[in-house]
Amino acid sequence: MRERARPRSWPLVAILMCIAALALAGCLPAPATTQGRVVNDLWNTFLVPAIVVAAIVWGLTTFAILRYRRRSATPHELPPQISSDHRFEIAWTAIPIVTVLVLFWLTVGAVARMDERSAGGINVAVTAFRWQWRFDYPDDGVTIVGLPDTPAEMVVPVGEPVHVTLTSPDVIHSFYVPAFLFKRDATPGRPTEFEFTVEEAGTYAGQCAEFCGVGHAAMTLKVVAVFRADYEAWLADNQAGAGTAP
Amino acid sequence: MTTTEGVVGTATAERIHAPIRGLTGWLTTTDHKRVGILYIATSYLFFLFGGLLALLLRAELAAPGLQVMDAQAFDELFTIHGTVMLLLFGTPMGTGLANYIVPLQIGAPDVAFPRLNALTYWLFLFGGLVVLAGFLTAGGAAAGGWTGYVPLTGAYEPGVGIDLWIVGLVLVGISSVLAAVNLIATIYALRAPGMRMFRMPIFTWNILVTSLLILVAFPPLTAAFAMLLIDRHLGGAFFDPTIGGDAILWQHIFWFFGHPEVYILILPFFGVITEIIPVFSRKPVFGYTSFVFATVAIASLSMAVWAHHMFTTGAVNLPFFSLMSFAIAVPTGIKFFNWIATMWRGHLTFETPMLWALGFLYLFLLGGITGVILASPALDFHLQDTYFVVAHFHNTLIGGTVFAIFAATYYWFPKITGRRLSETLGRLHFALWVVGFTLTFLPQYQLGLLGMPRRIVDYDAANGWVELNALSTVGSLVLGLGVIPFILAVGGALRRPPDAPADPWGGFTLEWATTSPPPPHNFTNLPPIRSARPVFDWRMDAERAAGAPPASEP
Amino acid sequence: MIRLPEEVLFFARIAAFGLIVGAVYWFLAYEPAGTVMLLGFGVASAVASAILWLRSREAEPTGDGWPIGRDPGRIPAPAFAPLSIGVGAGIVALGLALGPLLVVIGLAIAITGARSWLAAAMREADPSVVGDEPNDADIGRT
Repeated sequence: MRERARPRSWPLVAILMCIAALALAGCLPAPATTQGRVVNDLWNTFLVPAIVVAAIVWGLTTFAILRYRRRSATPHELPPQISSDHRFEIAWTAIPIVTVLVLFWLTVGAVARMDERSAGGINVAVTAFRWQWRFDYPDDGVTIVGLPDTPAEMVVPVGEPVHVTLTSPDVIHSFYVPAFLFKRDATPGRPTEFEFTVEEAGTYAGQCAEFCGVGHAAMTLKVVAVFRADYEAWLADNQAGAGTAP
Repeated sequence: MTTTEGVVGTATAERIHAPIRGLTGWLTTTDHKRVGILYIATSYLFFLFGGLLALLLRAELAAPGLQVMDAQAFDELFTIHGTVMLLLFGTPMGTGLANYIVPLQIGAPDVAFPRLNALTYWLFLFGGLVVLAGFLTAGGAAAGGWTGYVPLTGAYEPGVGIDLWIVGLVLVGISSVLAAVNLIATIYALRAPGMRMFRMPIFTWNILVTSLLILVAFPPLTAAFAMLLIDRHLGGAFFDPTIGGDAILWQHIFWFFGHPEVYILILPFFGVITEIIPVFSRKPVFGYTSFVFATVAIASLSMAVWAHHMFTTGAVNLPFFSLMSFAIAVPTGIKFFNWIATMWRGHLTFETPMLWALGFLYLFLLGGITGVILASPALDFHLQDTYFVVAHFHNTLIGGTVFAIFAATYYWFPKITGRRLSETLGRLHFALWVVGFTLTFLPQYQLGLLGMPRRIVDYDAANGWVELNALSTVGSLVLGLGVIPFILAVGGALRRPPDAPADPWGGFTLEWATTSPPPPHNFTNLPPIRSARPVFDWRMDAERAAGAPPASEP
Repeated sequence: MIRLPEEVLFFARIAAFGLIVGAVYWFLAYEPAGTVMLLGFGVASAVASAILWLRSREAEPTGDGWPIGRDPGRIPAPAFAPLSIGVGAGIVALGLALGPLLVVIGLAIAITGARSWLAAAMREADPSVVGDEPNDADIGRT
């Protein structure tokens, strides 16, 4: 009796969880950069096999629980003692292999697109330090240094590639702007380079994503994307001294 | 010299050591069953401690601002929470279960090196206490994260807490390696006659593979810790880039340990699930051989995926590590379908061990799928070091490892203590954990997608992370409350007189052929071993001899 | 064609994986630390496999195909030795972080334990000693 009432509720809980998970998944922040768009597209592609696999496995598990639970009508003999069937085993080895190879191939393409370098644009040398950011514009003699109460703001022109060189003088940090769907670690002794192109004007919050000590949570930054004319005006305003605000 | 005739695999012509009563008995024991109990009980205590730290962390994150603690305390707590849960709870829990169960499953009187076995326990216990001793020092406990990334843990954290963390974990690492050697030797040398490799229970197989992983993974960790100590105190320059070292080197060595470590944390428990599902489905495990090879494949691949933790460094080969990481999904998928096929057309009942095993199937799948997502470097560029990763590994370690640990506890508790745990309290425990897990970690997936980094003590309300964090904290409280029925069940059972039969579940493997709890040196006689289910065969033989209708159910 | 026992194949497979993947990794990444660790476990597993294979050829064949071991030997009596080595090692570890005096104390405790361990092991290895009574005094039982 009890056995009949109980098991029914667990698959239900699981199904509800499944629905909750699917409802929650899939909401990445709207990508603000050309490169972030690649990540966003790949994420949307990955969601399809993720949901299909979850539906198949959860569905089969739930079906097995409901259909093959022992009921009072279940005969007292043992069920058939089947211990293998090579056709099925080969099938559920081969299908996942094909699936992950496709996902791998999509990933390689996405990484290649994110690694493409375009000419023009601006150069910014980013230095992550405990616990703020320094943005150097080497071509224009502008330097922005963040302070604990006034986090650094990187002003960039909309629609132009920003070539970033990233370093750290002390511990490992990570330059992360969620709306760009991108981060890169700043490792002392190993400068790295990446590029992003902001597609829409706006202010994008970011922060250090690699734990760097007690000030880690306060190591925030902003990327402000403005039109070319405003960008040049901002450069002119900041060329004289090292200000912290645009 | 070897005794290959007959079916009695017990201590040959050997004096049986009667157990010594009281504390002395526990302090001097070399009996694998007592050492196993010490391991399991100690691991559970560390689990409760680590869980308490987690509740404090969630309390701090419940709302923006600093309400419970400052950043230094937060950093210490998440460092020690991670260290305790992975190295002082998960890993030794596997070792403890293996200690108790493996000799029984292979029909051996004890492990190969009983005294060494006792030593591994004491090294683990005192190593763990040395790590925790950091809280008693003026500078506090280690605060560099459980991953201990340099240069942060080099010159930037001068406190003695990190030194205690390093030397304590070296002891724990030595303990793990010795225990792994002991288990491999036990499985290789002490199997009862007839117990060929491909008749071993899947749990024993998985312990064998896990032990091999420990042998591969822990020595590099110990080496890395030695190098870090040299850097910190003897002027070394392995990891300090300002004087010619390489900060990435630490990550390579640490994750060469760290990724196999997560499989050290899950493979024994895949084994547990593979023991439980067939018994409660009244069917043999489906695809025994593919289970074994899937386990070996997962373990092998896990040694070649370490740098998927380093995709965002810009310093590793992305395609190699991405492909290897994707590949792990294949043997894991085989296991899932084999589990379902085991249940297919069975006669399923839902006693507490089975409930936890089914909970594992539902929840671990989500961790597996998000693991495939994280195997893609392009997606990692967004998700690495965010709460998506936190949710993913808690999904595999709670929805996977911890659920299976509870399954194992409810399953083998009658064997170990001679008493059954309350089914009612067990169901309540299970229900609270399913709800608590869902509430705690599904919001964290979404927090990660929104870009909340891990290991931050505070966040800006403007980021839109407030409600999801509050929900996650509520969930953690449900998980905390969920432990109470478990403690009540264990306490209540231990107060009752022992009444469990030798085989309360209708089990298949040799541990159910002896009394609950087993006598010193385990077996007075053993059934003949002609398949992977000797106790099942034995029961069928007995029924046939008694003229019972063929193949009725227990 | 030699049919290797599964016990030997287990390590041989892991060895093959480590050596092959280690070689592939080197030519893809030219990264020394990972290559050394991959090849290292490959070589170590190959050595384990080879030793097991040689041992299995020396031993007498049985119906189970794996003749090594099987005799658990003399199971050691309860002893304080593991505990004292564990306590000693713990104190040495504390000493490494806190001060050399603790290292000396810890070593002394650990060595005491190791000596009693060794003595018990020698007794067990000696066929002329019957039973383990000498150990009973060691644990305070009369």
